[in-house]
Amino acid sequence: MDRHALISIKDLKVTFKKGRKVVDAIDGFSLDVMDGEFVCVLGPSGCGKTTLLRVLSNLQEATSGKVDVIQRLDGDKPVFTQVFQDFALFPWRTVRKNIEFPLETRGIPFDQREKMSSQLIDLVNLSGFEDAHPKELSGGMKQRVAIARALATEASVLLMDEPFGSLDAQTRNLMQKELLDIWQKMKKTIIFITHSVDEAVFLSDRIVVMTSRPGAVKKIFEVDLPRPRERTSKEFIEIRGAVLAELQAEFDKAQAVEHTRDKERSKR
Amino acid sequence: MVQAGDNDILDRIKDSKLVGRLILGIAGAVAFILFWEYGMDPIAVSISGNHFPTFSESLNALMQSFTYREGWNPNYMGEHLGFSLVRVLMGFGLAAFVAIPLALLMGWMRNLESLLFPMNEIARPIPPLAWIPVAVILLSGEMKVVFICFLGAYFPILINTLQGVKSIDPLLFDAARTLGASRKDIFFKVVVPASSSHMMTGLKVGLGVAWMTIVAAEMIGATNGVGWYIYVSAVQLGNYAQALGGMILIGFVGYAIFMLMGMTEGRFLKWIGMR
Repeated sequence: MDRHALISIKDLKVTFKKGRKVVDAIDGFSLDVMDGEFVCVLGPSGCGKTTLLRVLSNLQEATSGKVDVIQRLDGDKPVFTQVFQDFALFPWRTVRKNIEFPLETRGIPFDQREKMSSQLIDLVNLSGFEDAHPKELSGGMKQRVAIARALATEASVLLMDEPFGSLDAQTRNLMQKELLDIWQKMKKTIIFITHSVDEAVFLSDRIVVMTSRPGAVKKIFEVDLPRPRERTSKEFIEIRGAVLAELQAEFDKAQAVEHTRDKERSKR
Repeated sequence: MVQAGDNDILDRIKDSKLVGRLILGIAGAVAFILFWEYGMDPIAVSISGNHFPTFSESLNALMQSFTYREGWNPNYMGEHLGFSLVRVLMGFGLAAFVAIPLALLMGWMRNLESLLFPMNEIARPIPPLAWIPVAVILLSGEMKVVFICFLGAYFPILINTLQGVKSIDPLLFDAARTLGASRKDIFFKVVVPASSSHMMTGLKVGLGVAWMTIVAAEMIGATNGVGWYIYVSAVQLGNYAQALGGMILIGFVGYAIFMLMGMTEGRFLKWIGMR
C-alpha cells in the first residue's frame, strides 16, 4: 500500500514545573505517523505517553519542538480527537446526545445530526441504547459511546489513551476486535497508548517503545502480521517476546533511577 | 373479602419503611404538641411568671385570622399570606437572576472569582436582619421588603452554584475541547448542565431562607403580610397567641414550599438528564 506521512512529530520537548523543580516529561521525541496507520505506544509508567497525547490533542503546550500535519484533506475538520481511559462521557446526555456533541459544536443542522449519530450508533453496536444515560451502561458500552463520539468529530487521527485499561479481559478482547473493524471501515489513523504488550501486538502496524522519563522513542517494531491475528501463533509470540524484552529493559532502568533517588533521599 | 391485588399493595406498604417512618414522625409531632399544650405554660410561669399561650390557643388564633376580622387590613389571613408569598418570590427570583449567572461566571473565570469571592464571603454571615439600615436608606416601599428576601436567597444560590461549577470533573472540559467545543460551547453545554444539580440545591435552600426572612423584611417596609402580622401581634398588641399562630403558619407554608421545590427539582434534573 502506498502510504505517506500524515503527521510528523519533531524533537518534541515538554517540561513541567513542580514548585522550584523542573521535570522533563518528554525530551527529543520524534515520530512520523503514516496516513491510516495504527500505532501503539508502549513505555514504563510516567514516561510521558499521556503527555504526548495531550500535546497532540492541544490540551498541553509543548515546550519546544513541533507537530507538523503534512496533509489535511478536510480543511474544516479537526486533525486530532481523543478517547480517554475513563470515557469522559457527559452524564446528563443520552448515548445519542453524547455522540451528537461534536456535531453540535460543528454546527451541523438537527436532522443531519440525527442521521449521522444513528449511523455511528450502528457502527459501534449500540442500537437500542440510544436513549440510555451513561450510568446505565457497562464499561465496554461506555467506551463504545466515547469512540462513536470521537468519530463524530470526523478528525483524521484518533488519539486513544489506554481506552480499554479499565475493562475486564473479555470485554477488552472484544473491544480490540471491534476497534480494528471500525479502523478499517472508517480509514482512520490511530495513535493508541497501552500498557499491554499483548494488546499492542494484536492491534498495531507499528509499536513505539518509549524510554523512561524523559520520554523519547527507544525502538520501533513493525508488526507485519495479517489480521485477524492469532494470539497463539508463533510469530505473534515472537514479536510479543521481543517487545516485552525491550520494555523490560526500560522498566528496569526506570526502577534503578527510582531506587537511587530513594537512597539519596534516605541519606539526607 | 380483600382481593389478592389489594393484598399485594398492602404488603408492599407494610414492607416499606415508609409507614414506620410516618408513624414515628406523627408520634414525634403529637408528643411535641402535648408538651406545648400542657408543659410550656407551667414552665414559663415558674421561670418568668408569664403565661405561655397553649397550642390550642395559638391554633385558635390562627384559625380566627382566616375568617373576616374587623379592624384588620386586609381582613383575611389568606391575603396576608398572598402578599408575603409575592414578596418572597420576587426577592427569590431577583436573587436567582443575579446569583446564578454570577456564580457560573465566577466558577468559569478564575480572576472574576478572585475579585468577588472574598467580598461575598464577608457579606454572607451578615444576617438579612442587619441589612435593614441599608434597605431603609437605599430603597422605598415594597422594594425594602423584597431586598431583605433577596439577601436571604442570594447567598445560598451563589455559593451552591459556584460549588457546582468547581466540582465539575476537569476531564469533561478536556473531552469537550478535544471534541471541538469553543469556550462558549463549554460554558453552555458543559458548565451549565453539569452544575445544574448543585444549582437546584441552591435554589431550594435559597427559597427556604428567603421565606425565613419574611418577618424581618415586613417589619420595616410593609403594612400587611404574615411577617408583619406576627410582628404587630407580638410587639404592638402583645397578643402572643396570635403571634405563635402566625409562626405555625410560616412553618407549614415553608414546608410546603420545600416540598414543591423538591418536586420541581426532580422534574428539572430529569429534564436536564441528571437523574
